[in-house]
Amino acid sequence: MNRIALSLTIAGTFMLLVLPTTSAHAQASRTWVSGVGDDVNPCSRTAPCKTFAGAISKTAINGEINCLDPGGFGAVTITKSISIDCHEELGSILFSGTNGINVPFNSFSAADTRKTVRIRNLNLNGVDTGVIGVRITGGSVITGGVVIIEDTLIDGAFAGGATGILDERTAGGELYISNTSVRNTGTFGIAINPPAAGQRLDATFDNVRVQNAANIGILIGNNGRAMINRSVISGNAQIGIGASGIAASAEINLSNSVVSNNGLGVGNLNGTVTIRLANNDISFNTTGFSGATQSYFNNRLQGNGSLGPAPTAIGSTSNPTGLQ
Amino acid sequence: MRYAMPIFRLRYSSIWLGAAMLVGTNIATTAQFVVQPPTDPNQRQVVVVRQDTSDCSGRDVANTDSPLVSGTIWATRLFDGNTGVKVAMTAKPNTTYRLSLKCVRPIGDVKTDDEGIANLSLVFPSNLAGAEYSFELAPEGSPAGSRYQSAQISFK
Repeated sequence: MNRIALSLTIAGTFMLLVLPTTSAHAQASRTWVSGVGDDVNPCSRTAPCKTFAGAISKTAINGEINCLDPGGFGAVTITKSISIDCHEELGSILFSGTNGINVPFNSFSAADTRKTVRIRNLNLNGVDTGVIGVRITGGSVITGGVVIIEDTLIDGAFAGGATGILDERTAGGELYISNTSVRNTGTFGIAINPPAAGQRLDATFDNVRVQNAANIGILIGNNGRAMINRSVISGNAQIGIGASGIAASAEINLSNSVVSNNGLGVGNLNGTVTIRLANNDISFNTTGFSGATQSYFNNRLQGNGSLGPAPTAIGSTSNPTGLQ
Repeated sequence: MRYAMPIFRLRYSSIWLGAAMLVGTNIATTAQFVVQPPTDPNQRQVVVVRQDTSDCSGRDVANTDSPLVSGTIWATRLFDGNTGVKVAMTAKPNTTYRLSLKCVRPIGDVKTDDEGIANLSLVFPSNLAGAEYSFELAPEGSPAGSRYQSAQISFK
């Protein structure tokens, strides 16, 4: 009897010592941030964290960070598959003199098989001195990776790289942007601009508005292949949308979109580039086109200061939708 | 003449070598589409990184973007003998950082707000610093891991 009591006492003591330690290191599938939270908290609904950076270490791979109430939750570096979603509440990131969100895929664990980052319903404001709203890097260690940006606003990046969304991955991957506005940036609005040849980087933009970039609204560079639909590219000082395939080919399909009030509307900038246009309004640019571009028979190219080199017609004249 | 030829060969070799280097440099620098925005020749822009120490001139702090970058500093030489400094940083909320000309003296304080954002503009006499210098931002007490160093500002 005494032996049983002794065993139970030892087991009980062991549980008391081990359990709190275990729970302190456990990561939750859902964590919460609040304007009145604290990063020493476990980021639960009843004890939320103050910042995304504080919450991310307490969130499991493939888990989700949500916003409990409106607030600014600080710049964050994401190093695992995760969702950050502030649906129904204002979730803001101010990024003065720095980047808003870094996604360095090289820092992801090899065990993180999804390598998928989802950013939804956020408001990123560089307060005029931001560097890059969302910067995606990697490739030398971890290949591929998926970034999804939905229902997000990025504004006011005029320092350093001065870009709204910059994807520099050299080992390929996927980038999906929808229902998102990027405006008031010092260099690019959205750029897929890997520094060297590598693997294909596929991008799909749907209902994206890119306005007032001081240089290029949307740039698709080396290895980039972008399908852009239902978007507005307007008021960009130098170029609305352009492709540059210096080290590897770049490709753009632009459909059902508006390219207006830019310095140059659509630019084949240099290197190996293919640009196909279908059912777009390309108007009120100082110059409509530069370099070789291809147009189905259903684009409207009126009102530009000068047209520039006319796009090469593709598709069938008997089919005004451009369908083959 | 027998002695002159090698000299000519050397000169031609140098020209070809220079040309090859120039082409090589151009290929390397144009692999990515790079925009050179209009810059004020009297202004320099450098990053501020979370790093406890650096040398006085900031030579050992890379002026490149990385997740360690926590701010940006613009320094502009003014015509009245002063240098204008603008600091933008994102760091620990509600914290006062002392801004120092590294290895010279403090020149001001910058306080982050509730969200960790801070912006500061000030001027200092240009003759306080040489042609190459850097800045340090450190909070009260400067516990390890809390200091920030700027990359080098060079007007050489």
